[in-house]
Amino acid sequence: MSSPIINIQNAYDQYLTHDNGTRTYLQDCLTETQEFKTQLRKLKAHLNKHIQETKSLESNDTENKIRLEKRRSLILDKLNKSYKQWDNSIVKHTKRSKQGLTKFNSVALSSFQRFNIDNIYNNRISNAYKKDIQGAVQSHICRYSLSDVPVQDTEKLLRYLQNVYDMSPELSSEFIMLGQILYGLSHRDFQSCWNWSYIEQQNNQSHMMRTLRYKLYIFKALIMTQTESVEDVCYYLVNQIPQGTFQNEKVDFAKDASAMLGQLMIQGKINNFDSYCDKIASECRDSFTQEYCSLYNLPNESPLSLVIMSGILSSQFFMKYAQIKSSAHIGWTTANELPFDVDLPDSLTHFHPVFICPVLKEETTTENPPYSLACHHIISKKALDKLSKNGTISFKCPYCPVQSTISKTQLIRFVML
Amino acid sequence: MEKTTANEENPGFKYFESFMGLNESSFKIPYSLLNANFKQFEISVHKEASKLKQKLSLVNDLMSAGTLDDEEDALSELNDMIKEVNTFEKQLHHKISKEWNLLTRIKKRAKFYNEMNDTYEKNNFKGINEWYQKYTNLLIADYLIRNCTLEQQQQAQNETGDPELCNPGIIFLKQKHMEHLIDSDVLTKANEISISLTSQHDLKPLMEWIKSNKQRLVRRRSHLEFKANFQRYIELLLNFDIGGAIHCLQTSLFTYIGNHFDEVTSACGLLVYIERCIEQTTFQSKSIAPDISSDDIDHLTVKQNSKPGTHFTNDNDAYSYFFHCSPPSKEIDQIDSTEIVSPTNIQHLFNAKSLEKYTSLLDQSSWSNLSDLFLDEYYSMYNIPKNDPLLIYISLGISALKTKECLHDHPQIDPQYDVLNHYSSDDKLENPCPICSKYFAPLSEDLPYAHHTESKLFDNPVMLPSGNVFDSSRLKLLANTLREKGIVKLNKDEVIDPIEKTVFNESDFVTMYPT
Repeated sequence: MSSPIINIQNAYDQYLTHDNGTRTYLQDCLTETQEFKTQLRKLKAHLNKHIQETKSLESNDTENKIRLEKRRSLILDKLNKSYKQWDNSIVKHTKRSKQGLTKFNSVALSSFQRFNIDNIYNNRISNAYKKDIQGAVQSHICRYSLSDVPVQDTEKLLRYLQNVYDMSPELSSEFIMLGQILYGLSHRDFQSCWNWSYIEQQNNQSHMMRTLRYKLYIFKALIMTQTESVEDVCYYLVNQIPQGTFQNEKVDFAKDASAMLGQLMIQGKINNFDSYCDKIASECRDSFTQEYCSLYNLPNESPLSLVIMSGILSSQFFMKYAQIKSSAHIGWTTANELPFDVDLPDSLTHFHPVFICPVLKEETTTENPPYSLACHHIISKKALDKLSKNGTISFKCPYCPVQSTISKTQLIRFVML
Repeated sequence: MEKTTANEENPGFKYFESFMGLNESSFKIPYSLLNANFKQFEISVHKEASKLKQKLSLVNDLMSAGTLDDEEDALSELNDMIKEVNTFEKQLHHKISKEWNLLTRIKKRAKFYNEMNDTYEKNNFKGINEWYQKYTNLLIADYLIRNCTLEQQQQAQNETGDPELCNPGIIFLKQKHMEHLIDSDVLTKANEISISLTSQHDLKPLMEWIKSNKQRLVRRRSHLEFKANFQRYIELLLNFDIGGAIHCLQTSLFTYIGNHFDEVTSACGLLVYIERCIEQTTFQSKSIAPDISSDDIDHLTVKQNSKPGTHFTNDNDAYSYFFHCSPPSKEIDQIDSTEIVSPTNIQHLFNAKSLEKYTSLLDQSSWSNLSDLFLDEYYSMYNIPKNDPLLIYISLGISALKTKECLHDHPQIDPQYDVLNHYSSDDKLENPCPICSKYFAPLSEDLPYAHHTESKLFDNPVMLPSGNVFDSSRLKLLANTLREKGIVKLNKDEVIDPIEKTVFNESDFVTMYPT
């Protein structure tokens, strides 16, 4: 756990009252007030009774008079006491609550590195691209959130998306089925996914759906345990799942099935049914989404979330640069390139090959493509021109003793597979 | 396989602290709301205590008097006290539920950000991706809430049938169960006031906000209050409510004359000009079509008729009347004076006389300027970023990802050979570059490239005679898959160059040494 969050949590705990950690001082105030109210009510009843008795009393009964006098002063005493008590405790709780707030500020909030994110927004996205941003946001919502929408009927869903998110039916219809099937899986309904995978398996290469089909068999068996007898479920697991399903070198598919069988045989039920069911359902969802996206050529991860991830990871570098810039008064040196190297994880940098010419220390481009030398070291065209004086002389490779001439070089292209 | 940015020796997200720095407002806003709630509580406690004290002393007095009547009075006083305490209790309930809501926000947020650190600590790649997914959703919700338009609001309300649920961002948050992670109440308020300014030209919500935050605005020396009043004045003029405009000028605008001298004087000038224009056009339209009757204009004309000699027969007269010189010769088109004055042709009249100074005052874009000014004040009050964080992260993210290869036409791998990109059991699906994707390509063009100091290629690069360099193991895997599926006939040690679509022997491989 990292420090700003520790501080927040400490301050949060301190803000609450000490006895059980689930109450605030304001709640204590409420309890005191309620207590005070009951007292007032009681005293009111006493006073009422007292008045009634005084009325019914003969005026010359001195003994009773003294008694009533005593009671009256008792009531008054109690009233004053309970007010005092209420007032004192309210003041006390208010003070403590205030202290908690001050501490929250001084302990928790001050531990944050204060930085205004507007300061690193150097390259503004013009309003002219609003439509594109909207498109990216909409397709992101389509890709991930259709199964969260309360309506699932195709026509209603399309209209809902149009009304709420301003999505054109052309965009959303691509994702409708994805959303509906995912919705089903989240609600323990495997049938639509089952049908879909069956049809697609018939239409396409059979090995494609293997993982999904397997997961669905398990899911179905799991659901069956809720309604069918143990024998039926066992029979299904053993005899009705095609044997081919379990044959995959890479994944031990039979594991889940045998674990289920074991539990059913011994206990007659599945341990932790709900959590297990959720786990299998979520595996089905993942597997189905991947199959669906690759089949319909949809991005498996939305470009927006990749860009945002890269944005969050790179924000640190921008912040550091902004701090250096403000203290050293240096400017942005290259207009169309960031002035610093951003370290991103491999999962974000595998889209295009990046080759830095070892001579010029520049990224190769279409204008300045990479060339392979006779020794199969690679340099950029500009570097090659420089070393060979525009192809007129032979030259030594900058990395090894081999001599090259321009005729021995070859234009190359890096291709990611 | 996949590596994460987690550092083995230093578990957790390496830049967690500075990332939290960017998210400070997630905690600062609920804190300041808690503070405000507490202050209100303090006030009501103070009020309540003094009220009760008063009543108590009254009861004390009555009771010590000791007569039956006084006791009965004391009883009714006591009853009042109970009522008083009752209302106080209700207020308290309200404050407490508000307090809990804010505390829940803090707690859930602490948990949320901690989750990020945890997934990094555990090197849980799937978890990390899911976390970024959630954060993206938050940014989307923030963007949707901020950019909601009146039209969208109405459409969404038709769909949900709930006036509370009409901002797409709020709906989205609710569907994602992330209500506590964004201070949506604060953002919606800003959006509502902004909408009322830009779409409805309604100053009321803004004025209310200004009123309740007056001290702060004064402390910040903000121009917002003046600008809002100025806009009110302009609107009155455009509606020909000359009396109202004069009243507004006298009661509010003049108080700002110290800091806004030029603007106030031009406001006065505008008053004179518009007043004359109304009078002038009304006079002309009356002489041409005497039966045209608009109540406002009639009323004004009657008043103005007491000042003879100021009727102009044409616009040039008007110009020379106000500026004591003849109008510029490059006359733009003449105004059709038979038209009744309306906000649109008044501006036209001003344009014709090249009176930019006044035209700009009447320009409808002043509404969006006012809205911008308001949002500026509002966001800085809560320390909320002025620019949409979604856009900021997109801008950062794109330039960190953008390579020189992006946005070019690439040698396409023929779709029939593109079999490696399909999901196969446990291989992760390769993603197409987000920069080159449909929606980001256009806006990526304006953003800078990432800076690289090291090549980022692949293992075992081999060159084929075609000049294309591939990862040799991937190339072999491709050949195998194509062979298995029967898409291409390949011998055992043959591979195919999926771009040139030519078959080569593995012995043609030339090992490359990129540095």
